[in-house]
Amino acid sequence: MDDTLILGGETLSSRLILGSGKFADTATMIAAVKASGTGLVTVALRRFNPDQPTDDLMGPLMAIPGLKLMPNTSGARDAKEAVKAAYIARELCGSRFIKVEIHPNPHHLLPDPIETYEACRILAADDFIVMPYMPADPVLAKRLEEVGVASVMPLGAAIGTGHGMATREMIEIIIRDSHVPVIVDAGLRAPSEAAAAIEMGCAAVLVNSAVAASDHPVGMAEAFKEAVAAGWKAWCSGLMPTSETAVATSPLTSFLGS
Amino acid sequence: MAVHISLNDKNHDLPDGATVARLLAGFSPQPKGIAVVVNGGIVPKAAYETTKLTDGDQVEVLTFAGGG
Repeated sequence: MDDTLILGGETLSSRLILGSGKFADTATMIAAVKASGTGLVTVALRRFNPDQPTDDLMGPLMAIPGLKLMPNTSGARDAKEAVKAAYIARELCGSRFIKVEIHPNPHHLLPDPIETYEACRILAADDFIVMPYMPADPVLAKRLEEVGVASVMPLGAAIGTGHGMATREMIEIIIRDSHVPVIVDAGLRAPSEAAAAIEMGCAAVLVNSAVAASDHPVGMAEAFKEAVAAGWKAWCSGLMPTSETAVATSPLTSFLGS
Repeated sequence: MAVHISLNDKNHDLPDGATVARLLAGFSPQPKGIAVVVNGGIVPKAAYETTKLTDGDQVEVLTFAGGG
């Protein structure tokens, strides 16, 4: 069972992608990243404040051997802003990974499918490894695949809600039709949900709040690592077929009644 | 003579002839992971020493923060 995941030619040793937001402090975030065993961590762009130099995120993250960064375009309201953010991020860290994230409405943070498509089209044509956060829409997933994204990342539920895989049926269709890895991004709360996503054929999961907003982020990161590993092992082993009627596992001999 | 620029939407003064490198040298501690955008265009690191800033320039200095 090969555990590696290849995205845009880059090899990752883990099927867990971790977000770096919402942690109480940088030290906890770094400890959680290490405990998770992830090879890919998302980061966001923000303005540097010269009057309040805060923790340097890039230094400690890049000190973790083999770790790759995936900047996101959070804050972008349209394709133009997302493309600008992608180029700034690439200049900043040199990573080809970009999580395209365009959610103009702060109330639900749901991704704008039209602007997401347009940004992906532009960035995929310029050698980015494009990873779109997208609605769980099978038609959009195929359209994004056609423009050259490295994966599609449908939401399980709205960002930060912890409502799990509310879009399960749509994600099943996306997995069935997709020729690029499908990664559930957003909504997951429990490690068992991550295991379930991998068991049904997702190539990876992306979690942030589930770890960062737990009581013990380092322990939760480890739990997600184990859940994803279990899910992958189950997927590779092939789940048993389901049946509409009961099928006995023990021999139904009648010696007790004779 | 001073050069009046906008740094991340705040007024900022620099000596005449100042470059992007001179602007960054004024920060303490020195930021490591940053990108610089002047009037909407990204300034590559190799051009920090040679990119002069002039009156009215809109300068953005960006870095990474935690995000999902």
